[in-house]
Amino acid sequence: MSGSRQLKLGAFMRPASIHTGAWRYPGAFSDANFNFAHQKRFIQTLERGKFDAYFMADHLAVLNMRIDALKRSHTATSFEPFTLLSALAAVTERIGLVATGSTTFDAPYHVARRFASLDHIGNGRAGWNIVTTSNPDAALNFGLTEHVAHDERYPAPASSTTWSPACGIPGPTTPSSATWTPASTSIRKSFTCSTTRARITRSAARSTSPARSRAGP
Amino acid sequence: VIVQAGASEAGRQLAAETAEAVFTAQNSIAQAKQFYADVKGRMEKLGRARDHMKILPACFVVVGETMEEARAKRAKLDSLVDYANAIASLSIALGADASKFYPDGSLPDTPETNQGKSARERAIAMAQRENLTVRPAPRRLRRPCHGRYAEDHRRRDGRMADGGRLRRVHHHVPYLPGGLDDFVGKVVPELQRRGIFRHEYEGKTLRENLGLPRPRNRFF
Repeated sequence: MSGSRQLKLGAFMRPASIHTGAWRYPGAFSDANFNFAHQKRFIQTLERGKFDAYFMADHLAVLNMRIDALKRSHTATSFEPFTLLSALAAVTERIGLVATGSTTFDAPYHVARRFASLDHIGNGRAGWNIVTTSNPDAALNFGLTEHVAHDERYPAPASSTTWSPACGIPGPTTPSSATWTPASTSIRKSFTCSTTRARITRSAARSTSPARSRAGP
Repeated sequence: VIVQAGASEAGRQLAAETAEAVFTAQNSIAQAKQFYADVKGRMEKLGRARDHMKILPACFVVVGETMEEARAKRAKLDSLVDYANAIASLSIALGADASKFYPDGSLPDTPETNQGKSARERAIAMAQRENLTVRPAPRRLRRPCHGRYAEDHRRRDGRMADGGRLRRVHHHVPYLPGGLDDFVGKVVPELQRRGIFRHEYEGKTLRENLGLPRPRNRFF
């Protein structure tokens, strides 16, 4: 069972499906966002179907929608992904466990340690979906008042991520040089992410971002 | 295993440098090919082997015994989306407030924002190509996957695989639990019968199953 004609199947999961109308479909579990038994059933079904990986997408804030839209949404928010995937690791054997981990707000150590733990709990099944965070409301959850600019969220082209021994997670290419300090109003902060050697400048200006204004009260 | 999903310039470069699996959604087979060639080409320039990254295009699969049944299920699903919620989802894709747009007017071009780039570009390109109005835009953004439609294959994944191009799929489950149960109960056995999908896992780890090499220990 190998060779280029073989399919690989991953599953892009949201707790109640990715489709915003799915929670109202006949037979749907409308409480799936915070019901572990349902998530366990889904991943065990996928494993029975020999899927390569289960991927749970994540956001670091409630969706930035007006409340009238949010009330009719399939998922306003759900389980924290490492808590969920660690539990799912214990009820599965072979399927990959892929979680979203944002580099926008956490220090490299936080991210590396969580994925290393998940990888060992699942016996080598962890995957890290590297993201930067685009939801402007997430910045507010980390004590920032303005969102990090797109180009600053991504590393400089000369960056390099290298690999740690057992589990294939990235480690620092240089001795740890994270110097992040919590931002405060009107002070320009910066930190160097040693994982990617990206210099991310955090602007903590007082103004509210346009996207935040859009999101409403 | 390192996974990456953004398709902007910075995202592609990050993928080429670090990713071992890439999740992507492209509007057409031509664009998907261009994306594939671009990212793999960037990998080569960086000295990485092309095969050390698996690209998984998104595939929203609705399973039906016939095409008509699958289309009816899709229409039913789309009909359950609340309008305010759909417009809010579109707003997130565009980084602009779509609730201010006239629902039956053309989807206007909106400026680039600080939010995700590729989702906005994909939405605008599709709207322009198809003369799309605002109201149906959100559901058009989630289309069934592309594939060669041949013979009497009732399931889209089979068609895609028969097209001979698609070897990795990121399956977007349309609704739960029924859509997933149908896929695993009906589509997977069909793919296995055709000899294009495994009956058992090849390895124990995600890396082994995806066919990725184990990284070298760089510490000791």
